[in-house]
Amino acid sequence: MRRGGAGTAAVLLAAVLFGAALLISLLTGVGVYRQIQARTETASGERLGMAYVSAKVHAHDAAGAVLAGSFGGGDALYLLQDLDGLEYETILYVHDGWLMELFCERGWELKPEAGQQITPAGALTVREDGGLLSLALADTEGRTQQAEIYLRSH
Amino acid sequence: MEKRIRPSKTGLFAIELLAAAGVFVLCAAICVGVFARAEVMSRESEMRSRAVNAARNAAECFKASGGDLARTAALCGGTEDGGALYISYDADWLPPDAEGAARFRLSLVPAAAAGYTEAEIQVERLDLGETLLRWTVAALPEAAA
Repeated sequence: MRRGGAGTAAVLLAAVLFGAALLISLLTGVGVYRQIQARTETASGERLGMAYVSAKVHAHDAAGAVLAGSFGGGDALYLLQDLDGLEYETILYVHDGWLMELFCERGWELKPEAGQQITPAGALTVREDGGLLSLALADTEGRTQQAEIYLRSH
Repeated sequence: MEKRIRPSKTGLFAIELLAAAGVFVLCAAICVGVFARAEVMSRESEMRSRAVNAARNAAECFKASGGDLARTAALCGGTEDGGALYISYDADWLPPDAEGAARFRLSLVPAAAAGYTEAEIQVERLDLGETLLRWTVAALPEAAA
């Protein structure tokens, strides 16, 4: 009777250990997966905004068509283009936690809210010096990604 | 007369449990290995992405300066040494606070070519001595004008 009781206890203990090991390995897996997911999301979020701005700059890289300026109380990038004799501008700026894009006829005075939200962002800094465009885009958590773009048209 | 030993229910359950635990341990070992590899790959991917970003910025500065090393250094930072430009980064790809905190190093070595200046950009991981990337870029002298 005593031997049987000890055997049952040993089996129960083994079952508990098995369950605990299962739980630990599941939690480890979830933790690792969450870390990888967070890192991937952060990296892609950081890259997305800057990749978008860089692609826009390269697409509009013509003489005098890329200008650093300000809009909506912060730095902005002005990309000019001529369509059917009318001059249009694409303004890239950060407003209310978003990287925004506003396309309108040059000279129109629109509010920053009129733009289209692209991706979450904290701040945009634009500097232009001798054909080198220096961009810094901070995300909503303050991490900044910098990009230097040489304007071929300069 | 031979006495047959009949296994108890507990014994059978214990054997079943041990077999299940054995299978589980095997699966868990495989999964932990996969998780660890995924973690390493994720870190490596982020590191290479940042290395590409650093190299691209240096290349753009080199092109904007028309191949002039001093001007490239003024634009993107770093130190000139022996006709090459070196930029150090810490583990977060920021300029290192202290000497010895550098984890990555970008080197830009220019070489004159006919009508333009060529440079080899290399990003190294210092603790492992591993080269993360190696690019060749060219700059036209009139770019700096």
